[in-house]
Amino acid sequence: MIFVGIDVGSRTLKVVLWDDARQRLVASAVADQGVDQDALASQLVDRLLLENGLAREAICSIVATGYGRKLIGMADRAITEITCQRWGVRQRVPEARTIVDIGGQDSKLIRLAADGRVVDFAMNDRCAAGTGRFLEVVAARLGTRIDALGRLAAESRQPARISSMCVVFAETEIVGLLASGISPADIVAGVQASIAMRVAGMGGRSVEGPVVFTGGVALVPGMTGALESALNQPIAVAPEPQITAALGAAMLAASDKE
Amino acid sequence: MKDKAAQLTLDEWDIRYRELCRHGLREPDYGGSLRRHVDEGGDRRLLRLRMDNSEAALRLWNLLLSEEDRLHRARAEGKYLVGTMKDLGTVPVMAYALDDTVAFYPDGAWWTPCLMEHTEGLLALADQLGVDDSFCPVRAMLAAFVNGNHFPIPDTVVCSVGATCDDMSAIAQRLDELGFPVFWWEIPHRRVADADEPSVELPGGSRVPVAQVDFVRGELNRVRRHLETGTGQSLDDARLAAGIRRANQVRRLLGQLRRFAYLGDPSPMPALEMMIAEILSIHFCSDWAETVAVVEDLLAEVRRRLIANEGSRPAGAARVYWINPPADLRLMNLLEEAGGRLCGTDYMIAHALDPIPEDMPPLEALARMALADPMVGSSAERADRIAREAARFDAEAVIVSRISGASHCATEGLAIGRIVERRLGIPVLDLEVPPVLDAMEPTIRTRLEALVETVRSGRRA
Amino acid sequence: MKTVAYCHPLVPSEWIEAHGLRARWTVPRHSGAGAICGMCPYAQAVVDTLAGAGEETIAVLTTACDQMRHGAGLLAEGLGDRVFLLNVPSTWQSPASRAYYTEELQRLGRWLVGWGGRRPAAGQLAQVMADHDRARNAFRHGQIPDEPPSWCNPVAVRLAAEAKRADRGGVALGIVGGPLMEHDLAIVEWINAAGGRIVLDATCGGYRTLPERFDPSAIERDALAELIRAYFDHVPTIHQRPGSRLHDWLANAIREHRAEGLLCLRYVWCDLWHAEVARLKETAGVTILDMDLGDEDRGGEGRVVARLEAMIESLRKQPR
Repeated sequence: MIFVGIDVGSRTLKVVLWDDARQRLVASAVADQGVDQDALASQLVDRLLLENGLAREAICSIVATGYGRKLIGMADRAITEITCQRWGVRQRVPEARTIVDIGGQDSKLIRLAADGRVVDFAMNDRCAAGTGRFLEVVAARLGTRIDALGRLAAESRQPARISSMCVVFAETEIVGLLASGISPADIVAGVQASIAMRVAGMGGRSVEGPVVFTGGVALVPGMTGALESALNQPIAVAPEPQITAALGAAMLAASDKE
Repeated sequence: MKDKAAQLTLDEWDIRYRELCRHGLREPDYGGSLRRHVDEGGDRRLLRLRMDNSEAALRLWNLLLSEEDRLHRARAEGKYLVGTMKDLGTVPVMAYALDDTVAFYPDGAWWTPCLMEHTEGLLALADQLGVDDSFCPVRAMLAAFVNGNHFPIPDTVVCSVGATCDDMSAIAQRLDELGFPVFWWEIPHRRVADADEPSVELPGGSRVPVAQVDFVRGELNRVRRHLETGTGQSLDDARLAAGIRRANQVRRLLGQLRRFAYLGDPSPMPALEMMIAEILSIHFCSDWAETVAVVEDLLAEVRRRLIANEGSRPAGAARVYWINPPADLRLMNLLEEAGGRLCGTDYMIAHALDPIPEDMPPLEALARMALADPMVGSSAERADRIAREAARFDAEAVIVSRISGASHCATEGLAIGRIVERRLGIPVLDLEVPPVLDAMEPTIRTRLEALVETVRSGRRA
Repeated sequence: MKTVAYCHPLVPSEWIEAHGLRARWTVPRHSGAGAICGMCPYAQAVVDTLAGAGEETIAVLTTACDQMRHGAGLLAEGLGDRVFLLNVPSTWQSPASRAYYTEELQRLGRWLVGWGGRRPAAGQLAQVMADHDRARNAFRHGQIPDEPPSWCNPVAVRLAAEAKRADRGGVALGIVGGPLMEHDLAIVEWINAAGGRIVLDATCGGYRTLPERFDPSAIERDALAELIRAYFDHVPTIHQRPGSRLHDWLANAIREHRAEGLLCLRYVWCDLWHAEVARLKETAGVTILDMDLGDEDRGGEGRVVARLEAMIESLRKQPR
């Protein structure tokens, strides 16, 4: 009894196979986004099935989530990533009360009640300054890769101050900082702090812990520390933080809960 | 000890201060080295500024940077504290007419993120209070109220609404919701009198309907009653008239200072110190008597420099008329480093530099002054006054310092630019800077230098 | 006959029509020209739309927000005297403000006369007030007018009609915020498709900002005074200070309409609504979804739909 969750994000597509009877994650995969998301999802599902010796017939139900959730023809249902994150994160970190999810094009802060219900959420997708897109812009401007940013940030002695609320202007600021002789390490640390502050701002005056960090940006070294500073409390990175929404989608596929 | 005019870094000021002390410098009780504001107050921005080297400037800076101490002392002494919001320069005149009463502008906290280079976390706290960076940097004030780390919480907050900026109205409303005691009074949008309507002339030259003045006078009377109730004192006309005379003393001194500073060549007092001095006109830095003394010292220094033909920068700098105060003080230094100088300003307080009429009942005079506020009229009217003043001070360029997020700036800058260019045919530069501009300094410097080059090439032509 | 375009609920349509002119709540459209950074897209759309209106249109804007106040200045650059800026006081608890609003309506009346209107004859204002009151009351009770009315935002009427037509049960939502534009009607469909329904329109120009019912005997005594009572003393708006009137009204309306969540539609750069979102979250007692709307027309559909769906999912009875 295999259930499939597909998270169609802006930068990557994630697929999870879930064995509901055994309450076990069978397999997962992450692929960069392409033009035909439906085809990509289908290929990824087929690959995982093949790798795990399963046939298509083993699939009982599929739920798609993420911004492109309605583009997946093979899905039985589409559910937003807010709801899916709740289920995925609670499976991994049952005591979570707040989820911070930073993806390529948006960021979210989701509050959970003690029993796991979504109390409310805030979302930023108008301004890329609080998202992974900002890190991509910085990496490109500094001529490095996004996965190298964390190492660079660790060398920072005094994070630079990035003030702009808009990535376009922030890019100008980065050029200015470089021209002023500020080190790339300080710039990256400043950008990370800026993203973290913006996300923390979405949480209002009190963010209840435990706080769990998900999304692709959770894999960028240094971001967790920046978030901890901004929220003034410890942050736990979810195991495999990129796939929690897909996991939640697969779990929801296994139930008629939502 | 008089040295030639110069602008000093903080390190240079340390040396200068020791020399001044050796030569018998006499200072008021808030005096001391500028360095202490960094070491004790966390005002790290001073490390990036260049400040005038005069004793008068030292006193000015010390008065400015010791205001929070003064307010806390006033609180400890049991004085009545009035937080004044949005109205620029009217309510403090009323408050200072009372005994043991101190008025201040909590929105002055908008410079705190600059002075402390964000180390105080005010803007982050404002974000969390639901007032993010789509608002004007004055949102720092909201956080300062909540964390209580800067100014003491006033006994009352007197806030004008109506024809005021939405940022301030929204932030004051949040304060009200958070339990701070806000007293609201209404200032209507200033309009031109209809042909058949009785009208009066305001300081600054606008003509408005008598009905508007009557309404504002009534509102100020409500403020008067509110202050009387709060302080337990009578704020009668005699006291108000005395308060107006005191305010006018400061305004007249500043009027002279501006004329000398903006018409003299080389510029006898740098842009940064002039900006701080001008803004004293609305709030007196919580000490009216010291404000008078500080401005008198500045005026004396400017006179001395004019006679000696001295300035910290060479003569012939591009004459720039400046609009709106910038969130980062460093910008004023940058103007001069780029080869420009101030020749006039409109920091949104132009009305607070005009003397308040003394030949009429004091509340009537205050009402006229409040209505003369450039921010309560149309952008076109403000632009009109700017164009007149810029012409009077022989401006060669205008800089509109846009305040990021401020609701009036989006359209106002356009109107001012259009009208000034049409009337005077001089270049207008629109600048928007964050509270700490370091990251944008190269691009801002480029734009300022380009403006100066344009002015110079225009002179050659 | 001139058409008097307006877009704020404290401009009484009865007063305009009693002067013999046609009142019309303007439904603005983006011109497609570049947005002015920092300017509220609604204010900009109003300016763009009215700037392109023909000679037969004259406009009344208000000082209720700084953006519209300055927008009126921009508009006047092209239209000159065809624009009237009505001072609507923010303070609502003082008799002086009420008197000032009265004077402003009288000034508006003089301006209308200048544009071909005539001073209302005896009983004329009373008659228009009675007519509008009847129509509004029917609307309050679910009757949708056949023609777009002059006394509120016609988009709000169409929203009510759409909400009624599309209602198949589901999570009960209220919407609150700035005035609706034409393309906002899509929200009804989106909410419905996500399993929700609209039970309360608290947007500016909709149900929230309808004036209090008129007292016929008071109309008879002094129609203008009754008009002012029903508008100035009762219409809750975002610009009023203190803001308690709006929050009290919302708290009651949420209870009365049994809304389970509130969608706050606010325009980017609208400080007044933006700052109140935090307060709504503290006091409304229901889930609040904060939705900032730009000048992108329908371009923002994806982001709006995702939020709506997530909100409705979270409000459905959630398993534990």
